[in-house]
Amino acid sequence: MEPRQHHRLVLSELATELLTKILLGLEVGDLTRCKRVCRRLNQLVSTDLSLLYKMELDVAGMVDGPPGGADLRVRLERLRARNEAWDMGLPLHTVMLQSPDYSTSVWQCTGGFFLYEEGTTADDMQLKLHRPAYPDLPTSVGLQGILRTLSAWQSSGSSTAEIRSGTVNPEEDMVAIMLGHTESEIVRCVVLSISQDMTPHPMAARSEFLSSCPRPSVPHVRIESVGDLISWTIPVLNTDGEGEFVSEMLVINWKSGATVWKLRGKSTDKHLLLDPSHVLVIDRHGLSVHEFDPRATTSRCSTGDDCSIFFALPALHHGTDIQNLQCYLPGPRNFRDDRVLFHEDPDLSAFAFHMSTSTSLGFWQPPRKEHLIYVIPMSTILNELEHGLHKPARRGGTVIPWPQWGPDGARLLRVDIEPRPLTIMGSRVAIPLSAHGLNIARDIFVIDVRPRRAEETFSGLGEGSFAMLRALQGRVDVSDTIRGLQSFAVPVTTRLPYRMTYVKTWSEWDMKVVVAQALTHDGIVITCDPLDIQVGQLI
Amino acid sequence: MGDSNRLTLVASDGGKFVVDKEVVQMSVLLKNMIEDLGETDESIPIPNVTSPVLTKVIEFCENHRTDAARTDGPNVDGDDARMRTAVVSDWDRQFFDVDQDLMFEIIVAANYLDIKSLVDVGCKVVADMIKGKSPQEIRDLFDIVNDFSPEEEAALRKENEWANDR
Repeated sequence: MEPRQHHRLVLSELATELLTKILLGLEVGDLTRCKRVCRRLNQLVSTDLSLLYKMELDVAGMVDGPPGGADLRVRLERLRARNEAWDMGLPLHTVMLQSPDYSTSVWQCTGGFFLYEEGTTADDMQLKLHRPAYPDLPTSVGLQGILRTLSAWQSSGSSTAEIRSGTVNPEEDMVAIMLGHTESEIVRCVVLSISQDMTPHPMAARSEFLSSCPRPSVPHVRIESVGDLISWTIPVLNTDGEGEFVSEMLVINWKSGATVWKLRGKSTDKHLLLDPSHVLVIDRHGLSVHEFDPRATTSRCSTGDDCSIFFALPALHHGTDIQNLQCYLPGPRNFRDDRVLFHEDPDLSAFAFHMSTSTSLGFWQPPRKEHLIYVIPMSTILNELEHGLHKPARRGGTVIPWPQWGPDGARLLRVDIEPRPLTIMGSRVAIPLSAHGLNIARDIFVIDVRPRRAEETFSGLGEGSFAMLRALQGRVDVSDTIRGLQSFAVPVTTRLPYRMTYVKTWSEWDMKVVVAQALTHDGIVITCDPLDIQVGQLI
Repeated sequence: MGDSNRLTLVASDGGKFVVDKEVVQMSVLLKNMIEDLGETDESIPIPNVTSPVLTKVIEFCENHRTDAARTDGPNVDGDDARMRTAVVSDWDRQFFDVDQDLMFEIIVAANYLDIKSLVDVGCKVVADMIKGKSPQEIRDLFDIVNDFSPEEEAALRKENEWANDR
């Protein structure tokens, strides 16, 4: 037998197919370094479509959608257009409001869904649902059937029902609406089918779910829906006390009709659905994780001591009160059968909450007001839930002090003017800031837990200091929250390839006034005040 | 009379390997070949693969025979998602704890024989070796010649500065 000519195999001489496969296992940072190794690698990384697409996905913090649909070249083009829209602020979608002369209330505007209530005549409000990124899908058109549902509901009661809140649950083809009866002051939740023209959802156990107590007449109610669950936090009158307000937090299985979890807290306390069996209760001291059985048939009342993990927030100064607390979660994104080309990386998703604080400075001075915005990667909570000690070490759960929140940590922003409602999409949180004395947003800051380009990244100043970002109106302080972390630019041990914050200022030069904004699958949605300009600009 | 459940593979250097059919079928190439041949006692030559490499490939297939059915199942997440989340098991890591020549030869052989799981694991192992390294460290590790001119190198460094480069 002929002696085999032994040629040593070298990485850079592997077949293109194999080399590409190896490189696809790398992140964008490693790929750009590979470009500098040799000509062959440079050429491959710079021209191979699958590698270019992978890098663009990494930069955007997105992952590929399910197989099917458009081919790689089209996906790459769309993704580039999307990333460019984020960079340049170019409008991708524009929607005309039908009746700009009447006010519009936006109930949900994240995750590519835009749920809003629009008046066509003085006393005729219609609820509409838009999906600007998917104009061809039947679900993307405005749905007008809600009017029927509302009328029927109104005629059965004695007074006018007003929408207090709404949420979209595309997985279940469902929209949940909170209705407030101004007279009886009992909040009702109706569960509607999207595909069946906003009629009651056929899977819903009841036509209405009611809050257990009367609530004071505040306009805003928090509701969200994940899978079989709906959950809300509403302020109610404490029946035990003397007209004191408390927070009623409820999780209901809308298919079985059972209340599976319930907690009463201070009036500022809020909660979020973390997954199908955990809720996160947020109060001034921290975040506590509570577990429940989503299929429970009897109502379970939780207490503050039931939590398994407690994430402690930095202590507030003595004399500082929480006046208001609002929580924000990433919005819903897709219907079950959607074949989206790419979507936000669930591993990078974040949530946020906003605390309005008031510190008394003595009776001769007005109290100092401050707005704290916490941006927390979901992984910080979920990793601890998955890998942390499940057995509570003590009553009230395992306590995790603020500096030890894990590698993904959290962000704390201090804002000196009241922000408008935040919206969250994937790893990005948009914070619209009002101009002083105006009830409209002038600047929108987008905080990303990932950077995009060097010139857009923001370097924190390290321990104990805050960086200040100049906004046209107002001021935002951005500080990292993990003590000992020298700067945003130096990554600590983390799965995230970069650990930085990206901030973008939005200014409306041509006198458009922004009344609401949303992050969608394809970028930012800006809705402009219909009295001044007749379009909702979907960017 | 030969065992109908076993087959003989012949490596390029003449080494003979008697293997269970079930194990051989993890290779799409050999699976198709066996189907074409039908019932036969003939041994199958594998001209591109040497004995040491074939030994390793068979070792891998023997170890992973049970999860073959699982990887054949429908994959709703798509290849990329799986690549991203796949973690190389301890056994696989040990399996690839060999010199670089053999490692690449195993990957090339797996690609030729069309054994998807082995190619995936091999590529993942190599990718993990590259992760976090500077261009020079990558060259040193894999014996790659720097074929850029100094000017080109400087330009590339500048162009890719944003990626937290060293």
